[in-house]
Amino acid sequence: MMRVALILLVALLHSAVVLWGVLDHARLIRSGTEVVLKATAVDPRDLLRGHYATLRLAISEVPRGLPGMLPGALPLAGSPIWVILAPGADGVWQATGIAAADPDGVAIRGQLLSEYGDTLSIEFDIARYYAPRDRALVLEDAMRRDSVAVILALGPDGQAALRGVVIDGVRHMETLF
Amino acid sequence: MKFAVRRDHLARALDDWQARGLLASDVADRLRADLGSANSGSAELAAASETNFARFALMAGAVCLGLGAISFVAANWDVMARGVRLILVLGVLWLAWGGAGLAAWRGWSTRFEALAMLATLLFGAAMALVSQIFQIQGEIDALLFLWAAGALTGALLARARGALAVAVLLIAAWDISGFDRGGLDAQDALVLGGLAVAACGAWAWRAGFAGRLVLVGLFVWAIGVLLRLDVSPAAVVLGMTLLPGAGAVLLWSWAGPRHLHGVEAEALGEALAVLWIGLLALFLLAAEWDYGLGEARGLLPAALPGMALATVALWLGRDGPVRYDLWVALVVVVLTGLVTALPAGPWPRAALILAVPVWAVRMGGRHGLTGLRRLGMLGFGAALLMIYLQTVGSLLGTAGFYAGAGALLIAAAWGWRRWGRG
Repeated sequence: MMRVALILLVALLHSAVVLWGVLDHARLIRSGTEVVLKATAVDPRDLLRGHYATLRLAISEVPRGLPGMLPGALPLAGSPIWVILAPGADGVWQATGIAAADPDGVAIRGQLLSEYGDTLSIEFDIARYYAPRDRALVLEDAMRRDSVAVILALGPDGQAALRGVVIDGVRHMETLF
Repeated sequence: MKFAVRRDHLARALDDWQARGLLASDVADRLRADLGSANSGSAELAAASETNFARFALMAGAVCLGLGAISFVAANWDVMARGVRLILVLGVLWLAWGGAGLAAWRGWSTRFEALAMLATLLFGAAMALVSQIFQIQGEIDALLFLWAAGALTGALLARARGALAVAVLLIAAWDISGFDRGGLDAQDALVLGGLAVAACGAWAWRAGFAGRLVLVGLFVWAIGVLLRLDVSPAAVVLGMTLLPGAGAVLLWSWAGPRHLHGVEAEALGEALAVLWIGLLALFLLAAEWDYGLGEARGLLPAALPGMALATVALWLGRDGPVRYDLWVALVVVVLTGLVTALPAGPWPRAALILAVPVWAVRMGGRHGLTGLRRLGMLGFGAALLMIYLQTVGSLLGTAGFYAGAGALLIAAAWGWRRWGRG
C-alpha cells in the first residue's frame, strides 16, 4: 500500500507541475499591464508542441541612442535586459529606453543577444503563437502584410504573457479556460 | 504454446516414422501415450490456437478502440474548451499513474514498468500540450529540465526502472539542449547530480539498462565539456587512457566480486566503444591533433592514472580466469597513451581502432560474452570501412588497403577459429 501511495504522490506531483504552469500563466494574464506591440513572423512548426507562428516583436531590435539609455557599458550578451515601453499615438506601444535592471514603469524583460553598430538585438520570451496549421498560416500571411500586433500582459518584473493578437485591426483575445 | 507446437510436431513425426516402418507400433503407441495420447496434443493445440486468436482479437479490438478515441479527440481538439482539454490531459496522466499503481498493488511487475514509463512520457507530453493550449511561452530546455526532474523524482518514488531509464535520457537531452552555454555552470552540477542520483537508483534496484544509460549520459556530458572548455590535450590523454583502465576494472569485477550486479559486461562494451570512437576521432583528425601536440609536451604522465587502474585490476585478478585479458588491457592502456600523447600520425591509431575490436571479439568469445563479441565484430567492420574511406586516393592507395584489409581479415578469421569459440 505504501508503494501505491507513493505512486499516487508522483501523479499528484506531476499534475501540480502542469497546473502550476497554467495557474502562473493565468495570474499574469489577469493582473498584468496590457501593452500592444508590432510583430513580424517566420516559419511555423515544433516537434513537441505542434504548429505555431513564430513571433518577432518589432522591439527585438532597438537603436542604442534611445533616451534613458544605460548609464554605463552594456551588460554581456545573454544577460537580462528591460525595454521600457510607452503607448504610441496609434495604440501600439513603442520602446523608449533600455535598462540593465528592472526599471520603474512599464517594461518588458528580455535577453541581450548582440550589439552591432548602433542596434541592440534582444530576445523575448514571447516567441510563438500556437494555432492549428491553417490558422497559423493565415496569421503568418497577415504578418507579412505588417498588419499584426500582439497583446501582452506584463508583470511588475517585466515577465510577459500572450493575451491575444490584433489582425488587421481586429482583436482576437485568448480565453483562459 | 511452444510445448503444444513441439508435441504436435512429435505426434506427426511418430505417425510418419510408423507409416514408413521405422518405428514399431507398440513403441509408437507408448510414445504417444507418453506425449499425452495422439489426439490430445492436437486438441490442446486447437484449444490453444483458439485462445490465442481470442487474445489477438481482444488486443486488436483494444488497439482499434484506442485509435478511435485518439482520432476523435484529435478531430475535436481545437473546438474543445481549454478547460476540457486540460482535464483530458491530466486525466490521461492520472489514468497511466493509476494503472501503474494498480499493477504495483497486484504485483504485475512488467505492466507496472510499462505503465510507469508511459506515465513519465505522458508527463512531458502534458507540459508540452498545456504550453500549446494556453500559449505559455518558454524555451525547450526549460521544459526538458522540468520533465527530467519530474521523471527522476517519479521514478525514485515509484521505484520504476523503465521510468528511471527515461529520466536519464531526459537529463542527457537537457544537457545537450544547453550545449551553447559557456564553460562550467550550475547546469553541469545539476546534470551530474541528477546522473549520480539515477546511478544510485540503478545500483540499488539492479536496473542494468538505466545504469548503462547513466554511463552514456556521463559520456555525452564529458564530450560537451571537452568541446566547450577547449580543454588541454592532457585531459584528452587522461580520458582516453582511463577508458581501457576502467575496462580492466570492470572485467575484474565481472569475473570476481560483481560489484555492479553483473552489468560489468555491458559497461565494459560501452567503455571500449567510447575508446574506439575516441581513437577514430584521433585517426580522422590526426594532422590537427599532432599539430596541437607540438606545443604541448610531456603528456605521457597523464596516462598514469589509466595505467594504475589497469595495474590494480591485474593485481586483483592475477589468479582469476581473465588474467590474460587484464594483461591485454594494460597493453591497450599503454598503446592508447602513446598514440594519444605523441604525434604518431594516422596509422598507429588506425591499427589500434582495428586491434581494440579484435580484442573485444576474442575476449567475448573466451568468456561467453556474446554482446561484447558482436560489438567487436561491428567495430572491426566499421573500422575497415572508415579506414577504406580515408585511404581512397591517398598515398597508401585503395589497392594497398584492400591487400592489407584482406590479410587482416584472414588473420581475423584464423584468430576467430582459434579463439572466437573459446
